[in-house]
Amino acid sequence: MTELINSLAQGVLIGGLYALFAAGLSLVFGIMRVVNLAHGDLIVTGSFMTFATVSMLGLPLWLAVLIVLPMMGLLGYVLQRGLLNHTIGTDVLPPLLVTFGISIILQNGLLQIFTADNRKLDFGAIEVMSLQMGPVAMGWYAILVFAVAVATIYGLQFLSYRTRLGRVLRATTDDPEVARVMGVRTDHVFGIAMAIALVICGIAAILFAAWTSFTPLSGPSRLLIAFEVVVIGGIGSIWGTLAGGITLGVAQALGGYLDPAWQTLAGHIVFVIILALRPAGILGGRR
Amino acid sequence: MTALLETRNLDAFYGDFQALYGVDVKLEEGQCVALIGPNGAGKTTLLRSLVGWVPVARETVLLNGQPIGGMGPDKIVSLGIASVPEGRRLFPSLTVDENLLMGTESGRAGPWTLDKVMEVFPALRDRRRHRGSDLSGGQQQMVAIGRALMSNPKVVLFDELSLGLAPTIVNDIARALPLMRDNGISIVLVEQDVRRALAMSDYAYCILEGRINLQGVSADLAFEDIEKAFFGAEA
Ligand SMILES: Nc1ncnc2c1ncn2[C@@H]1O[C@H](COP(=O)(O)OP(=O)(O)OP(=O)(O)O)[C@@H](O)[C@H]1O
Ligand SMILES: [Mg+2]
Repeated sequence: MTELINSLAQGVLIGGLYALFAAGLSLVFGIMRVVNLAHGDLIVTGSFMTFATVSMLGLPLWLAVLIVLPMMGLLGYVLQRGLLNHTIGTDVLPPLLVTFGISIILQNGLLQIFTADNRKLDFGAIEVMSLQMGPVAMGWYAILVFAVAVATIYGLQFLSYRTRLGRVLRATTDDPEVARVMGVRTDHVFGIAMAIALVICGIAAILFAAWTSFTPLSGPSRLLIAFEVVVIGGIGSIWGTLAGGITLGVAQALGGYLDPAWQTLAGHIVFVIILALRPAGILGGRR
Repeated sequence: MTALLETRNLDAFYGDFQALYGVDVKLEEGQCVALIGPNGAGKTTLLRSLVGWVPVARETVLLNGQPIGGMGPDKIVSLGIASVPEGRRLFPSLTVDENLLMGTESGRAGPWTLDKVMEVFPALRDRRRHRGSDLSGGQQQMVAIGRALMSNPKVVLFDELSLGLAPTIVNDIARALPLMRDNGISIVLVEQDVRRALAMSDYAYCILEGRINLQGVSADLAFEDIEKAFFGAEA
């Protein structure tokens, strides 16, 4: 029993991380109607940036955060303005092909620079410390990750509903054509949206880099998680990504509790069930 | 003297399909000009050409004598041309206040504020936190007009002001037009209801199949001539 509760708690906590994987994908899809197939590889790129600054350059973690997050944001803006903006239009195929191409370029680029070795960041003592509550033990690192995830999702919610930029982002999501007639430079707004998405990816990338090991080829599995979370939670719903992340995390934890080999499979099964029963997602249709 | 806004020999295309042929229209400062014509004549296309929604040649649209044809819509609204688009097209997930605030994205300074819009359309007062999609058609049209005003425009282009609205509600909305003119705003009005269009405007153009085939001072235009123009007879 204790073991079950422990793995459920673990599932909830990693759900926060999954929500971060998904938030950027959902944002980009909502506003630009682009499924970014390079999303997972961009997260892995963020993890390698962190690895390079911390493990190779030997800089402290806080400094790595201050370097990696702005770089991810800049990368997003430049990628959108320089490349992706030229692919979006009435046809859905060009952005899919181009982001697929970016995915391949990133994987091979990372392989060239970092080799195919497994990497993992070491954040020190916090990774092994745990909070004992009666029989239940929760790792402090997992709690930290979850707290950062909730704070990030809250921040995104605040940005969307309480700021001018958020209003412009939502208006552009609703109707980019009319937004332009109101004076919105939609090209720029798309760039900003991708920048925000990649900063969130960067946060997820740093946290995940110390959670498990990663290689240059870990991207597609991250993309799959993000995609499933977006569908489970409901497209366009910010808190839905958190609900979706926790659902997937708990499903995996339950599967893993029954048999370690079922962990990922259980996640996929829950995804398929929700897709069949509630195609709009758990929080879909609400905001 | 140069007009506030004019088109010169304006052609407009959707792909290979030509929707406007050599259109010349003029809007003087302080005027209200009506565009009338049957369905598919090209009225909406003409408004779209003015705001940069349809690509047109640079020198075919002039604002104060300066060529602005084919500039991006975001640029053109910053020069003072605002639109109330066909079908109103509010942002459905934004509240009334947020929809109105989208007008300020033009970056133009001027007198219009949320409070001033509420004075013009008191019916919106207790709707300010509602979503655009929760409003009645008339209220949506008020928000669409308020949104255009919030950009502090010199010119407002109306497409189908009264379409699908009850006459009493149209009257409520039409009250805004004289008020706008008192504030120095010039108006281009596309309107299905010909009598209303003539009553509200100073000058009118009749469009058929992408060409102007009748024009004149609104008060002098005979309804029979317009009927003929609608069906393609030379007036
Ligand atoms: N997006 C488009 N793509 C292709 N053709 C179009 C498009 N929009 C309009 N047209 C065509 O251009 C012509 C003019 O259309 P427009 O919408 O300007 O007419 P309108 O006078 O506004 O008519 P209505 O009174 O029905 O609004 C029509 O033949 C129409 O079929
Ligand atoms: Mg029309």
